[in-house]
Amino acid sequence: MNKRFFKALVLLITVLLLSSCANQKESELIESVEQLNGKDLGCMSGSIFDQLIKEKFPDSNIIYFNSRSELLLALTTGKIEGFVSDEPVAMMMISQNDNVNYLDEAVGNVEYGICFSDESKDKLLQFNEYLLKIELNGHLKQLQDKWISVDGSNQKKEEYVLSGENGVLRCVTTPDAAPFSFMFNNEFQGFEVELLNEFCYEYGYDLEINTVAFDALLTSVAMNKYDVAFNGIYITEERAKSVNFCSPTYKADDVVMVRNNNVNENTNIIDSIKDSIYKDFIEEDRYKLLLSGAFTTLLISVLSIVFGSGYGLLMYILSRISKGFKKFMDYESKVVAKLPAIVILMILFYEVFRTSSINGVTVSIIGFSFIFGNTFYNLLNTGVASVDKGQDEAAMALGYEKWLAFFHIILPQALKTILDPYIMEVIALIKNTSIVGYVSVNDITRSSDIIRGRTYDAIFPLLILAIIYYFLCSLLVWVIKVPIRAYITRKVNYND
Amino acid sequence: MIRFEHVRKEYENAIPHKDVNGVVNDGDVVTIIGPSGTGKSTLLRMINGLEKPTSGKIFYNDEEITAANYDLVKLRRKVGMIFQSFNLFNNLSVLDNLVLPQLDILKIDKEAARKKAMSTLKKMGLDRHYQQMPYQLSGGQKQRVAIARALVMEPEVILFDEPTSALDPAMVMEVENTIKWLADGKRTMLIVTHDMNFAREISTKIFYMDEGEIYETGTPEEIFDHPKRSRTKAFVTNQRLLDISIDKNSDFNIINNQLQDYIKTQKIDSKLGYNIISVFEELVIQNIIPAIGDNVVLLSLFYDGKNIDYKVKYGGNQFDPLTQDDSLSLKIVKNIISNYSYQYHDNASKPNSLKFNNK
Repeated sequence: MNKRFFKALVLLITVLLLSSCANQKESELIESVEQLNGKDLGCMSGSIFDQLIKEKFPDSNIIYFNSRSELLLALTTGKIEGFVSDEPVAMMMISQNDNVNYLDEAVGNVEYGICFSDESKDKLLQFNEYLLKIELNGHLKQLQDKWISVDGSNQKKEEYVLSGENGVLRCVTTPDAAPFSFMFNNEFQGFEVELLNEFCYEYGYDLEINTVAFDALLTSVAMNKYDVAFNGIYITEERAKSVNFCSPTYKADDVVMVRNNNVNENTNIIDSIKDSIYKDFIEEDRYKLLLSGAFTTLLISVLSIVFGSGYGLLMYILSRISKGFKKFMDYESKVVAKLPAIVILMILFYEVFRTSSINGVTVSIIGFSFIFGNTFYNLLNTGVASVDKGQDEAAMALGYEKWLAFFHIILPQALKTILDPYIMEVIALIKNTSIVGYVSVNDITRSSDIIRGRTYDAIFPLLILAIIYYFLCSLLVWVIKVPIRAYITRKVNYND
Repeated sequence: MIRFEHVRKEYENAIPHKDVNGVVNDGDVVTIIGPSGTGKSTLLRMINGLEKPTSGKIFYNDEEITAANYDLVKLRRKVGMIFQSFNLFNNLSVLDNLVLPQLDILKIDKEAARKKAMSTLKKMGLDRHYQQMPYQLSGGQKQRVAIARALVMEPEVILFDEPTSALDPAMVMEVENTIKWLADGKRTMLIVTHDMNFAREISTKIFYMDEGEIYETGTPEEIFDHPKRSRTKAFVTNQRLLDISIDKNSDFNIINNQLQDYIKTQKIDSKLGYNIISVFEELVIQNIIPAIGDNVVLLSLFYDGKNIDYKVKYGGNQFDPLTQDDSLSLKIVKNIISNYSYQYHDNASKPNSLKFNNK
């Protein structure tokens, strides 16, 4: 009991420390664009804004981030003094967060477009045709006014019954770009979602929407895994080289986001936590998204551990039978150990299984089973080598068959030596699954990102994520240890 | 019955067996002795197929076990083996060490296996330890459990590969007594050992291995007391011989330890042991070393199982210690030795030479 209490205490202290960090602020209030030159400014990696910042604020230091919610987090915690954003997103951010504002003076402008893969150029032509039509009849303007406003993230798309007579439009998004693409009540919503929905209705397509991490969004379309990528993507020359943009769907100003006051408002910590819990979990049933994400992470982890252990053991047994195979496996497993999991997953998803209908979850399980199997193979090598040769000789001399001796005498002792590293690898695997967002899987990390993309709440979803991972790891380690321990001790169970 | 026919074993850099021939009859207790590197353990390990001869044949009850398609697993169920390093299954309790092989190999009922294991442990005085893990046991206990594990499998033959070599001297007796208790004439046993007294006491037959063959075979009396061939003679004598060089710069503690080791391995009783230590300390250190300057003393002991023959040779001028004035140390020496003789050979490298026995 004491041990549990101690664990809970450590967890609580970590949470409090992290949240107190989040509330640290610096002093100077920024009210005009001129004040920004020389200050640290944030920028999304892969976006066009770093060029803009270099031109407008030549003395500033640029710090790169992976998502808009991280930029906002960096701003509210004082890591940066400002960042450039397009006005529609800036509007969303200030509607969700009282501590930030944007400066009226525009620093540039952007155009938004939807990307089509090389294999879907005919659909691109149809889409451009449709865009031109609704621009001329004024419907496009209606849609823009409906979505791109302070209240845009509370809108709903019109529902249509899609016939699908001309096939499926396979789309992918990172739904963290309200008001263009986001999740509301666990449904895809947004300006671009409605646009695509209407297009599909008009042209007889069915609409399928997948999600993927933003970093992999354009890649997935460039590799023809999906037909269409959308997420309020800015049209840039560089991006146009690898994907095909439609005509601009909207033009907007670029503005600079800054903090609007340097004192935390009068809410106390309990109220702000209550507020966060409501915003991040209860509102729009977001806890469901988290639960399904947690389930996906659990599913991928458990199956990868089971299949990976089986695969590793099988490879080890084969390597004991054939010396040539052992040489191959020793080499292969060391190569695999040096490759980042994300590389293996993306190669599997975007290359090996590109044309097959296998989904991201299955690919993740295949990929992680393969990675974990190779790790386990190496562990088994070490473990079995550590068992004294005399154990095998004694078993042989007693009259054991070779494989019976291996499974009843040698393997239990080998597993005993490698139990701790094995458990560490299990934990590493569970944590590593957080990258499956790159292959279109909504795991717990992705779910948390989607919520952050919607609420722009800075630190709270991250803390919850940390706690969920902690419990997932603890649970799995506890469950896995039971059968392995039983196998290692190989106690004979007598009747009394 | 086990029969070796022209067995040859080659390794990359050694040929331990050139042409081994021999027969072990049912009920024999055979001890294999010989200098190191003559393939005594290898010969033992060939009997249950842990090693394969390069050429030649081995028969077990007239079946050729060296044949290509012979079922070694079946053979091993009839032949138990005891190892120098015990090789108890480290992850299993004492009881499970005895039970699991019965379940896995004899495929008998769990309760029957436990019953047999417990009664075997009880016979060997190990039943108190049945719940312990191997690491909780002393070396002697481990080896006795290993013997019990071999016994529950009801082997026709038991092979002992240096069963006491890894044990502290204090535990050697415990294990040797167990092995003696097993040698009841019903079981065939083959033992590789360096303990000549044990070999003499337990064996019905001795294989002396040398020169790549079973060089001489015989009863313990024939081999130890009346060896026929030259190498056997030299080996048997050497086993009982100790030569030590001493000068004034020697570390006397190390020499004392060497003597103690000799006393232990030869199983010399405490009275004779005291005799050896006294000769070393009172005669050699107190009287000879101070008298001969930088010259070296060679002390040779030979234990024939009852008495000790001493030879002491040293350089320097003619010097007979017992003719000197009676000091306390010389009085002690005179009291414990007999058959004393002194000779001086002018042209030898160590001209002074003493011979005597214990009293």
